[in-house]
Amino acid sequence: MISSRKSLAAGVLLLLAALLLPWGIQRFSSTPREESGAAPAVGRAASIRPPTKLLAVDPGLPAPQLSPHPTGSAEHRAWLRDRGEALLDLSWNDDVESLNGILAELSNPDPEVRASALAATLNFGSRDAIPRLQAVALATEDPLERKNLQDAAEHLKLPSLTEVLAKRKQATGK
Amino acid sequence: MHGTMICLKWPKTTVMKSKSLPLPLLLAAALFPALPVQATVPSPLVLNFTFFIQASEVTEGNLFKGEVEAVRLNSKDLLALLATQTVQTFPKGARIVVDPDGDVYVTDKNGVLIVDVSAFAFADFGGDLFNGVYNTVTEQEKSKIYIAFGLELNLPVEGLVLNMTGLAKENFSASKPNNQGTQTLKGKIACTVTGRGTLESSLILGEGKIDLTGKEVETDL
Repeated sequence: MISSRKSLAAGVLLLLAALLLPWGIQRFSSTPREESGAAPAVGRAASIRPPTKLLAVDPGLPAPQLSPHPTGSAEHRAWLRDRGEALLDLSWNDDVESLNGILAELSNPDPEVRASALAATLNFGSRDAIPRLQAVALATEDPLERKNLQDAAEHLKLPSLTEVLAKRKQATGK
Repeated sequence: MHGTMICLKWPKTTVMKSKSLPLPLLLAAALFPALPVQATVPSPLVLNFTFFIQASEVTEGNLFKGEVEAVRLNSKDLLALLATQTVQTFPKGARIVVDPDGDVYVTDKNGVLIVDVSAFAFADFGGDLFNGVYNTVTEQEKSKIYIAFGLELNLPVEGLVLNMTGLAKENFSASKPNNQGTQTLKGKIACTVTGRGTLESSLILGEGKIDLTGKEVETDL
């Protein structure tokens, strides 16, 4: 009696397995097909967040200049060098337009132009650059680049030698 | 831009180029090993330096308290100090240019000489090491040069004496002369420096960075 009940239970289990197996195969094998219409997870993330979190250009600044040459080409390298020299040339001026032209390039997609712009910002030597440096640093993902931007802002916060000397002269009444 | 600086016509010398020097000069170099080896192209001086100076010292009971102040010295600060020193007003875009022989000038934005300030600022390109290739026939070169670099400031009007030194690394290239015998020389020097000096007789100590990037076009006549 007991053995017949066991056989019956085993039979029921086998029947259930036979019924459920095709459904299971269809269910799990169809999962990718059902989701293929939607964007993959990576694609969705990419559409939400840009690959490089560069700060959008300030409306008050001119647009960064982009290289017309393919990255890595000799023309591109020459263009980078010329752009670096142009930014350094601007840094010897003292007018707002020159500073804005330099600060705009802190948001250039090309890291070499951004590095040249940072060097030019330091050489320009104006505290007016500090807010932009801080804002770009906050939006920069690369830790080294962020630190360089923050260090530049801190450096510009320091009193300059000409300011210190003027203060001393004022204090001594010379 | 930098090519316009040829109006100042700088001499050009590197370790490898000394191979083509006449024998007496080579002997002189051997006899006087401290003979300065020069940077290869004139370049605008980009200086970012922070120095520290004793701001205060006070004794309160059994406590001695001291405070140090940080001060920045950039190229344009130096330009302003040189204007005071030479009693000149420099035009917009004026810059400090370091000559390959160590002399320092102020030029306008086109590279035209305004004033020689070597009496107040002088660069020293000391012993160097050459890593690269130089073609003795075409004078084509691509190299990295390690230089014992120094920049000395002496501005008596402002009471500043400062000597900055460090190991400079120069990426240098010289193209093969074209049919007209024109050769383009490019040099980029980056140097982390430490400095020591005095400001109005008070000790100053500091650290910073000096960049010299230049380009020169030479034509063999």
